[in-house]
Amino acid sequence: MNLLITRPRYDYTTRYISAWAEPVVQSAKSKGHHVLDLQEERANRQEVESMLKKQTPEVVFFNGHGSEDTLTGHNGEVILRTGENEHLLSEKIIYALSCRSAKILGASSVKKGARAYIGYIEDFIFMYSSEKRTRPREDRTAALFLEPSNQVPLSLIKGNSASRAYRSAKNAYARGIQKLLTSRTSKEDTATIRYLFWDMKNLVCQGDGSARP
Amino acid sequence: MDQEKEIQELVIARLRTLPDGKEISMGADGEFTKEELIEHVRVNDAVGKKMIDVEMGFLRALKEGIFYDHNEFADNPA
Amino acid sequence: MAGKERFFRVYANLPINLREEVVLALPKEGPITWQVAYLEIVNETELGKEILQKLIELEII
Repeated sequence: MNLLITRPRYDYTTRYISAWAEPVVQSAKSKGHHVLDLQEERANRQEVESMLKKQTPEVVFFNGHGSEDTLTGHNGEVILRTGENEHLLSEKIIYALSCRSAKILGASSVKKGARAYIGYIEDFIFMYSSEKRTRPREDRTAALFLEPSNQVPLSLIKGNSASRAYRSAKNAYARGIQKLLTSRTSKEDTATIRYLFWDMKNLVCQGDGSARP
Repeated sequence: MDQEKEIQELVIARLRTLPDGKEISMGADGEFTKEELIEHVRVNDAVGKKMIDVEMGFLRALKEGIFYDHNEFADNPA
Repeated sequence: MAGKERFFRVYANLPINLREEVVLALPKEGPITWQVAYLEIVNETELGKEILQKLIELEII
């Protein structure tokens, strides 16, 4: 299986989500999948379009900022825009860790042939520790958000369906929230619950839930 | 106090209790400390309105007992 | 007190960790947590009535 992943890295948010995508890259490689890892400047429109057309990845994992009808790459460059190039996602299963893109871009991608689009219909919000922001992978606060998010691509890499991957992430958010609701949790960690709930609520799966890579 | 102002004050009071040393990423809108978020709520701009949605959505969900809803939380593989 | 039962049902079901969270901000008294709300409502104070009314208006209970 070919996995295409974009990992821009130019502000704290993209540094965090790109760093936390590393376990997905490693997992895919360890399973013998071919990983097309577009990091930093390579997470640009030209390279993404080229990879989508020529390498035909079955699964695409977008990391970056976004809006209801766009996905962006490095330095905020728009790499996908509704009505312009979402047809390039045809026959693929997509996970977009990108604010709000499932609202319009996701739905349009499915109409234009994407097998499934898993993403968020609202902003993806997460909390992180200021002192860890230069070492995102050591940040246990950010982990509360990014580990559940990773369940989508990790599940797809195992060959599970889009629906199963989506449920894996939802369940991971839910289990995380339930653990944080107990009396054992610190006040600090309790503060994350409202944002975890927000992300969990706004994660959607569009298209064919039975689609498998 | 009209209701919009009451909600603003409630959200500000809740944001004040966020732990120190943490920041919130709100995607393309940027990363914020709690003091910055409070200011956004005060001026009621897009970021502030989003914070209000997050906080009030959470508070209102509590009365539904959704965190104990096994249908929502059950593992339902395809 | 109208709405008392609603409040007690919600409160009883509230995870322990969340009971210290702010649930209201009153003009005079300032921030009110779930626990403070419970004390005022269970003791049927005037403040408790005001708290109940606000919680209902804001659709928090």
